[in-house]
Amino acid sequence: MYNQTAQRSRKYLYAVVAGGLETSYDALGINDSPVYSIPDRRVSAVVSDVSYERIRPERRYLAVHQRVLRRLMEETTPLPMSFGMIADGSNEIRKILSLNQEGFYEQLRRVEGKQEMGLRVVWDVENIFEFFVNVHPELRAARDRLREGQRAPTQEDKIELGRLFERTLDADRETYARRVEEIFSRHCREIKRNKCRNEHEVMNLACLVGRESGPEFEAIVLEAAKLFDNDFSFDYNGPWAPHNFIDLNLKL
Amino acid sequence: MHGLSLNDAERVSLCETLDRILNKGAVVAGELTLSVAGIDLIYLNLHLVLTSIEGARDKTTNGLMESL
Repeated sequence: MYNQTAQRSRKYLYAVVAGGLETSYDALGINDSPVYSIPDRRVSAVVSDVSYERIRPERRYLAVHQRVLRRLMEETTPLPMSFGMIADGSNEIRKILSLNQEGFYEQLRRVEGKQEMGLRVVWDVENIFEFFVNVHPELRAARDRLREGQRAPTQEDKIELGRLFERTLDADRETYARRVEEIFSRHCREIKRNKCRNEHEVMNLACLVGRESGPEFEAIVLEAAKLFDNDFSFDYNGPWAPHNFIDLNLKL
Repeated sequence: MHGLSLNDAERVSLCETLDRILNKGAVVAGELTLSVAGIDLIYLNLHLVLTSIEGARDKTTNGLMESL
């Protein structure tokens, strides 16, 4: 049913922050609407008004979501929401805050005064398969057996070789990730390992560090990189809101 | 215009951003009052398909009506 009032009062949800004060932020939200907070006891939701019920993950909207989080990061550590959450009105928002008060509070305490940094390590080589064949004699031997065999390799032979490559890749990743994590764990509150996106990736880590430790993080990356040769490339990114350090399935 | 072309640094940062704000963070598991981006697209697509089928049917119906 078409309802003008409900449509106007829908709220796009960016984050939840600590503190129970109504705040207006000097930031523009989706469609340039003002960004403000709706408090409930010890926590507040950061929102802006939208007219839609659903929102597509278009780049311009994603950029706004990210910009608002960055603005919040200037003064606090927000609990970032996933993109695209719209509540029917401020009552819905209060209900979410109220039902999940404990969870929010606990998570806010976990990330208080901290920020997330990302570390991505890749094999900086032209051809990852060739590189692995050169580094691992057993992989080379298996490949050569197929190449120089009396008969043409069957599909199964190829799959088997592929599996061996995968296993070798994963074993190497594990070894290197442990080596890097050992160094980082001395400086980070928490470390999370994310899935690698392609064969070139060695590891993809998210690190929860103190808010002021940006420069320090760079130094740790350099320290870790020293343990590796030029076939590896280290890249870090951030600071981010603690996206990877939230374990919350909100009740409604 | 090169509105869509990005340099490597921008592409990496866009990737990192998308990965975080689409896949991570708190979500509300309750779809009646709140909508989540992942589900939306499917709904939206379905909605578009429905609209176009219905739109087409309307046209056909209208066309039929007119010809009668």
